[in-house]
Amino acid sequence: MEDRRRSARIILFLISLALLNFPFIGLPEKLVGTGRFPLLPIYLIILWLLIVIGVYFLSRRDH
Amino acid sequence: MGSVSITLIFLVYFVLLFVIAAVAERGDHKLKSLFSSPTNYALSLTVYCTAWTLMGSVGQAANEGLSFLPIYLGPLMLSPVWPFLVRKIIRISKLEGITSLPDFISSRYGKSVSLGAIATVFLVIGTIPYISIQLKAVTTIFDFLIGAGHTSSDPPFYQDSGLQLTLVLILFTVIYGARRLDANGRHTGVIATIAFEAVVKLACFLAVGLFVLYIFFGGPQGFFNVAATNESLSYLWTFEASKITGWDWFWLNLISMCAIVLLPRQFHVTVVENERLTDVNRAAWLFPLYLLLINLFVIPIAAAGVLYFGENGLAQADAFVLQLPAAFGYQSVAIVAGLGGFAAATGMVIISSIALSLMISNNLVLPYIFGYSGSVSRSGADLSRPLLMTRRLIIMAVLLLAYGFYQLVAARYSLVAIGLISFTAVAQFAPSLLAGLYWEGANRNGALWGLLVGFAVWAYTLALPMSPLPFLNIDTFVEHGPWGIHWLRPHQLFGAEGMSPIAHGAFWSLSANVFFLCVGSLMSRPSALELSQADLFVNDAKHRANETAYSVRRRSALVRDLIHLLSRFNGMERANQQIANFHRQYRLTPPKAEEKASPALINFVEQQLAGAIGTASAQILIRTISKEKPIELQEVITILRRTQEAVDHSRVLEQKQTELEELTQQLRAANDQLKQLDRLKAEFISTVTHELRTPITSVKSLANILLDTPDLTTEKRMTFLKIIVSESKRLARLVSQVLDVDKIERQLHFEQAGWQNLGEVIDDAVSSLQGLAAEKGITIDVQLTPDPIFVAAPADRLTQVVVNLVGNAIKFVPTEDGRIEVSLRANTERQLAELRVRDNGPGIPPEKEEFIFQRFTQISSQKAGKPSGSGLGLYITKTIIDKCGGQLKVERSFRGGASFLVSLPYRNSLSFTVEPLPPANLSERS
Repeated sequence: MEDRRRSARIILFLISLALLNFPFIGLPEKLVGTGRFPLLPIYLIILWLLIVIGVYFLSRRDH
Repeated sequence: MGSVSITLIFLVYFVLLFVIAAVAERGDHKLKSLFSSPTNYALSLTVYCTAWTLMGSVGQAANEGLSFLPIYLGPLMLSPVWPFLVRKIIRISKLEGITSLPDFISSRYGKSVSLGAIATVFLVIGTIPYISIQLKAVTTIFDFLIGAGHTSSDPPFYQDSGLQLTLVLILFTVIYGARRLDANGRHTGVIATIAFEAVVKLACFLAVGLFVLYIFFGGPQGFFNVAATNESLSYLWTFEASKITGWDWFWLNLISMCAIVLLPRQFHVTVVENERLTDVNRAAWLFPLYLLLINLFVIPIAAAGVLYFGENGLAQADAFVLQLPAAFGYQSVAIVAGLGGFAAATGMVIISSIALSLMISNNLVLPYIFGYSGSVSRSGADLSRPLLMTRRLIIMAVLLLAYGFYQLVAARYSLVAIGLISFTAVAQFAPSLLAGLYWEGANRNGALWGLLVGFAVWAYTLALPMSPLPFLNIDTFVEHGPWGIHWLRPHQLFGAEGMSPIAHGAFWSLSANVFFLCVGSLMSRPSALELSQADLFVNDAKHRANETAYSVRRRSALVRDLIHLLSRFNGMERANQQIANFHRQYRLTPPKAEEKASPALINFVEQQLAGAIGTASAQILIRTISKEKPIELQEVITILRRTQEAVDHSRVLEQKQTELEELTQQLRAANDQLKQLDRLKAEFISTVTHELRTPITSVKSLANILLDTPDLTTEKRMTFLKIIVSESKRLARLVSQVLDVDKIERQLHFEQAGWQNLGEVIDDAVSSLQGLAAEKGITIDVQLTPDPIFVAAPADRLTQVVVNLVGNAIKFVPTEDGRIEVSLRANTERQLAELRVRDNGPGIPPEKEEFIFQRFTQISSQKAGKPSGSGLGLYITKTIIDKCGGQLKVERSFRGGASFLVSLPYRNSLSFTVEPLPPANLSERS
């Protein structure tokens, strides 16, 4: 069970690493064109919240 | 608001910090649970957010857009795995009495004094500039608010607000940061104030953010309108405009991930100040959430600053949070912003100086005092007071040094520039820390080489280009390299171009660090102590499983000397209590003072000392009172292997114990079943006896009447004889059923019996019951398939099944409009013949469905009363069907009555060689 939780944490870490680095983090800019609308900050806020929620649920199970 | 009022507000704030620390330190009050809560721990981690966050981020965003974010995204990315990494570090630190990062590195690599000292020097070099920029921030805030920044002449040094604020910070840190020597190294009062400051800085920054959003932009809609239409602001929310590359972004994220664990203040609050391991769980999500909230308004504030102050204001963009409200005449909001920045900076300064004082005293000062002056360690004087005094002096020295650096260097650079260089410096500890935790092969030489080379490259690529050295023309040095050697340019080392200086420095220094760590470890042999420490750090789970400490060292010391040594830091009473607690914990008999101490006790005392003076110093002190026999490397390996075997053996024993427990459970269940069977047997005998006695009594009574009353009328005599015959038949039927049960149970399978046309069997059986049903006014409706269905079973047993099911239905349905349906169909999908017997009787209550197929189980209801019969009918029926390889179960009837379904494997014709069928696996089919 502990190994499974650890694997889930590592998977979430790798997903975060991928989505918050290039090239994925550059996608919102490519979608709307540079500087047209603050889509990138919105993308980051949503991703930020999703990671926090993911960590919250993993931590609850750990507890 | 005048300068006196502003000064007063800041003084009140300082007094509040003192009060909170004092209240938290008292301990015996209702707020104790608040100060030791997981939330308090999570908030203390936000010491990560300094004045850099509140002021520097806005400044950087105003100049370069989103390039300020990696500092916060790094910790966010790490947050999923942060708990298990940190839990391991905390567990080991508690076990070894570790109180700082150099202590951790030193302890892991054979309690090396030199490694601890080098790590401390590097961390001091990396952290002092960082503290200095916080002093710069608080001074800037204070001067801005009191309007002191515009004076033309420099005030005398004692009137410098930076110095005055530094002195107040020294006072607070000395009082609450070096209050007592404690084995666990925690500072409740300081952590309470840090948690309080976390709330203050967040609240203040959100207040400024809301001010900008609603007063400057007129609401969120206004901000989005400006964002969408004003192209001059577009660089604020893009990467392209900031010119940051994916490579730079990656390295900035990486050093931020390292910083969240390795910065002296972060290591201190995360590891040393941790009270419970479970607190980490809340911090894992609350801390990144805090980072999100504190960054929410960075872009709007930066946008407002750019719009209001224009390009000329960008040089002072760090102060936008203060300047914007002040420019709009909202002095109170400017003060709130100032308080937020003040809280952020002071929290960092306090914790960093405590952490540095601990590592300097434990890894630089004490090892050399104890090592070179043996008399100090052998004398009987109380060492706790001089030790505390040393730490206080170090705190003062650290903060004054940081103030000096601020005056000489930091004033010329931005918060971000110096902060990132510090981040890269502490990131040099990441390879040796991670290798120390997960690679047994990493050794002292590797760590030492890795750190030395990594720091050398860091100094060359990042620190040197910022240093105002009188003998070096920095601009020429950076542009052309030393002596004009092009490939040695510090920002394009070996021709690596296209990177920001930070990404470039981080890449080269960390790569060199990792390379030398690996090569150094692989090329040299570890000492015995290194090997045992590596085993302790990497396989900490093994040590946890083993519980009792084991030692690979052959040290001997007298119990008296150990207690005496411990008492010099903790007092005699506490030392005796600690030793007694140790023996109680491991259920050992306390030895006499003159006896030799066990290896476990020596380890324990060393760990207790390590909590107060560091692992390296503790080892030096223990060495002064103990004798140690050298141990060969091979012996250490053997001991470690045996320990591993012992742990494995213990695991096997645990597994066997679990298996035994399961077996015991099974035996208990079997025993219960046997008891149940015994009870059923008793019930069986009782029921059979009862069932037999009723007809016998009847026969006996009627026979007696016939015998004793010769003048009985013929009519009565005939009636009595009929009853006697009927009761005799019932008696015979009961005996026959009991014998049937025995006979059926003895048979294995009925498949050999041959194939019967099930439709014909049903027809015959129902016909025999039609008369009885008609007598009671009950209709039996039979629906058979046009094609024959053949099943493998004895004909008489099949008949018995149908008779039992239909007979039961006759007993239960109402006598006037009773209705029974008998249907047969072939389920071609499942290859089963399905015989259904349904009625419109009272039905079977769901809770009794699982019991009705047991022996002597009868269902009674208020409507039907107790049915006649032996309670063996359904049991016999089910047993027959089971023996035929079929299944009998109760179905829910749509009309509420009972419905039985018999499923049997079938064939459509007999035009084949009759072979025994394999038993059908109905559980798979159903």
